[in-house]
Amino acid sequence: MNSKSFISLIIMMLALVLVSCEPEEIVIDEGLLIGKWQSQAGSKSEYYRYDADYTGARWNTAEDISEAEAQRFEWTLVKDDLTHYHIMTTGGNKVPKFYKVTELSATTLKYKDDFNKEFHYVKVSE
Amino acid sequence: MKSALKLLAITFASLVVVLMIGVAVVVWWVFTPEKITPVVQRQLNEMLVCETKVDRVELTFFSTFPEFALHLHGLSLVNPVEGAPSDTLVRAASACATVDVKEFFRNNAVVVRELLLSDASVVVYTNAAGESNYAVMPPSPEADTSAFELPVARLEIEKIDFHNVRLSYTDQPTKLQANLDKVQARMTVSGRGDLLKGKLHLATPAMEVIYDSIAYIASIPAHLSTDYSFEMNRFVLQLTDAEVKLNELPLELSVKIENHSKSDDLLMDIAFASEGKLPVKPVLGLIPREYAGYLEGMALDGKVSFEGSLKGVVSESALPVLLVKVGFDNSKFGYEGLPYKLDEMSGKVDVVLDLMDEDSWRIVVDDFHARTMNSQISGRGVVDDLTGDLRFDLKARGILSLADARPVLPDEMDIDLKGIARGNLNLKCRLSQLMNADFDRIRADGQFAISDFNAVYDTIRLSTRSAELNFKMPNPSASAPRFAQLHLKSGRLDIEQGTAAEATLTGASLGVSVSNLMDSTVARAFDVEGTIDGLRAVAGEEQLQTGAMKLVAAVAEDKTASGRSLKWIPEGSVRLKEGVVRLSGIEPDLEIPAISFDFTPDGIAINDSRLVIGYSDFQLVGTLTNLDDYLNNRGLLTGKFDFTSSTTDVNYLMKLVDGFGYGDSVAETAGLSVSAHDIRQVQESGSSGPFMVPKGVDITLNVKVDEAFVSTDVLSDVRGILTVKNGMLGLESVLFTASAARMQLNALYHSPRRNHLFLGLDFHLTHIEIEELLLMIPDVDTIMPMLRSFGGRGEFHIAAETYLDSTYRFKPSTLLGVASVSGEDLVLMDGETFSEIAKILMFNKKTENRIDSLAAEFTIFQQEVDIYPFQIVMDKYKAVLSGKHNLDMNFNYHISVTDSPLPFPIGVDVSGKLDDLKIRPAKPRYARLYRPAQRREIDRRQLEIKAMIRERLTKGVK
Repeated sequence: MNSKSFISLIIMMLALVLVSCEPEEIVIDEGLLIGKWQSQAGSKSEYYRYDADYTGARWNTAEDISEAEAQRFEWTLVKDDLTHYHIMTTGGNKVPKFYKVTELSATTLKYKDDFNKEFHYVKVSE
Repeated sequence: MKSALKLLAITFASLVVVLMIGVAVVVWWVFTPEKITPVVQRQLNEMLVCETKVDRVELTFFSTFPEFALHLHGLSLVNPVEGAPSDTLVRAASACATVDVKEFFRNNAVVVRELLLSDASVVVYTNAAGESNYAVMPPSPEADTSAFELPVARLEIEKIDFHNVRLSYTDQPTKLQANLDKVQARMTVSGRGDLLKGKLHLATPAMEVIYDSIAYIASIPAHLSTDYSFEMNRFVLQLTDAEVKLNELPLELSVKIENHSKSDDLLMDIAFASEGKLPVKPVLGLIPREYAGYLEGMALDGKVSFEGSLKGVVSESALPVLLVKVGFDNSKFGYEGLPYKLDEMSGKVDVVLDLMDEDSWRIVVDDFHARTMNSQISGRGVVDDLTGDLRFDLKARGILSLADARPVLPDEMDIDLKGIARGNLNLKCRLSQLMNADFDRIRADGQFAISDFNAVYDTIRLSTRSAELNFKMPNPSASAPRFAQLHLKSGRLDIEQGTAAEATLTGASLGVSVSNLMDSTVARAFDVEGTIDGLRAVAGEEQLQTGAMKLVAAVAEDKTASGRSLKWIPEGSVRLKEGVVRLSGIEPDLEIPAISFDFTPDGIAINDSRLVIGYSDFQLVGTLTNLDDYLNNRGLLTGKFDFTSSTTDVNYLMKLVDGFGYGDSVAETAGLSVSAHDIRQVQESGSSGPFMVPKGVDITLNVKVDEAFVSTDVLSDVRGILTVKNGMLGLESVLFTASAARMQLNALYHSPRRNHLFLGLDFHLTHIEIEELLLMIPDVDTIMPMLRSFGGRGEFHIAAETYLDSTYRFKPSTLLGVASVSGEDLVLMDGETFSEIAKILMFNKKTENRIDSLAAEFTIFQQEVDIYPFQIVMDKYKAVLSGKHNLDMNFNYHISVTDSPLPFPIGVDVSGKLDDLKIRPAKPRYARLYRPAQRREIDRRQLEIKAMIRERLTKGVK
């Protein structure tokens, strides 16, 4: 193998490696998100409901809160970036929370925040 | 001489014997009954036009010695008249007349020694047509207009005796009837000219006098002893010095009855009187049965005296006036169903009966006195309209023992009354008004002075040494309810409820005007106007004391009110001064310098109200309206008030209200000074739990407080709006200055249910010392613990909300918030953490610890606080800080030095618990010369969020 061939091989391998290291683009069907999800953490009392109009509601039955009394939020899902905008009743302020979706199926939702804290939910109804 | 006398005696005796023999011959053989009976019968038939009959006539001498007497047996005069109870005028078993013949022949005088009538019946009757059965004399052939004169010079009847004679007199035109049974009577008659006079003694076991079908004397024993005279021409009958016994009751009687010659009217002048004082019961027996109904149920005993007269004309168109003056003494009176009996009753009563005018009949009560139980009453008055609806006009005065009211109080009302009431009562009413409780038409007024009054009902005691009570019915004021006006005045009035509470009113003056509250058919109303000089009330350790208070109120019933609308519509005002309230466990006293409010059917208007407690003072002015809509669920109870205070000690006021609704442990944990008594009261009242904001109300307070003590700070110039609206409590644009910082607060609290309470707030502080901020709001240290490392002046904005449970604990999943803090020329407080970070970042030890600027934004979600990248500029160093921490103080921060004298970038990660922080060098997350405004695309969203937070938080800050 001459030096030219060796350089070519190196370039090809480097190109291959570089191509393979390009992060894989995750395609998530946001339609799977629509429905009622139950947290699997702790007492599994926290619920999120994602509505098709990009709004949602969340409540914690352990704190004696029913779905009818749930707090509202808005959500976006761009690629794997899931953002919640929790709407404050007073003043209309919004509190954003940013997550990376790691798994979304018909039954399972997993995501984590910037500090790698993971959240795990199971769909309980559509 | 002696012989002559003897001869004379023998001669006289012989003559007497011969005379007696002669009389005997005449009586027994010449004037035998068989011979004289027809003669007498014939004479009677000639003299009288009625049917007469004599069974037997005897001429007696020896039985009537020394006079001859004509003795008729079986005499009857029959003269039937239509309507008469009998056709017989006279029926006598025996009638005897003894006539002095010598007087007749010598002196032309008829001297009847005796006129006897035995076992006889005399029935005198005149029917309605004027036909009389005693008209038995033949009519004169021509009218005799001459004056009547006796046909003899003198008429003497020494004795007229009736034995067992029944007399009956009936005069239908005058409706008068008299019956006397078994009459025993003796009468003398002496007549000269047209004058007859004599004496009469009469006794009957049963006398009856009936007028107009009413038996005024009903079959009672009667005795009469009198002198009499009768002028036949003038028809003047007089009874003088008459003594009468009716039912064994001795009476004095004088009678003069005169026939008016021209008008043919009778002039009657009869006077009668009891002989001394008579027992009441027999006297009442004289009252006609028709009037006895008035006495039904009455029990009367004692002594009574009376005198009276019957004067006036008796004619077709006139009747006399009957006047009876009754005096009673030491009598007793009781009435069935009336719980009171009158004792020691005395007085005088005049009964005036104009027999021609029943409408004028009246009873005049003069100087009446009586005692009942321990009370004394006296009075006078007039009762008239006796035959119709009795009308009373009474003026009474009395000394009443209030304990005597017990019998008229309901049995179920266990009330003990004591005291004396002295006063007057004037009453004008009719009997029907009393019987029918038609109090609207009764006119009455009274004035009573009440002393040593003490009333105990259940555990409540009301007492006063003296009070005045006046009332008038109807109310003389045309502009007030007309039924009655009452006025109560007392220098001191004490009220106690067991040993738990007591109150004293001084200088109380209370006037009340009422409509007839017992008449539910019309809209009822009452007006109240009263003043007191002072009130002192004590309940346990709680005390209330006031100065002068005035109440003016008009309350009217609304018959059309339905649902929950007010059925009693109030309108009026209250003024109070110098009130002091002392509550247990609370120092100092609550002072009420003044309060003044008007109330209307639809609300209350507080014109002035000033309260002082401790260092706090308040003035509350405003209106509360829409009460009717609120009561009927048609609308909100609306109030708008100005709350003005020069000084408000918020800490103290929070102590007053905090702890209510919590148990002991909660109160102790909270470090509250609320007494255990207060907590027990709350627990016992079942009102434990969180504050539930009232629904159905819309109350707005426009707050103006010059100086407010909050925590250790003093807030100045507090301005803002506090609103309670249909279950929500809000603070709107509340501005205040503290620690030289101007602050603004908006807050919202509502309580959908007890275990789900919402609290949201929007708080802005500008130009505040950070140290003061942390002292004032320690929670800021939880959100931004790094602030404790800074000193200097900055500004802080936060908007946060959360739901709370019934014990006011956060529901962590609901906590949301955004905050921002900024400052310039801050001083970095040297500390162990900073020193360690500075060492890793290789800060020069000479670096000035002054931070040129700081602008950080945060969000709070559940337990997490996200800190968005912000730059700190300090001396020659610039650093960017970001990260997050949990409210449990678990940190995950990163600091990148973006500009420094160092030739290479450097960073540090800070993580772990506050008491165990791990500070490690790290690859800087933010590039050299990084500016938060010049971010990579990945940070763009965070910059937008920061801008949004800041914009929203500072929007509307005044």
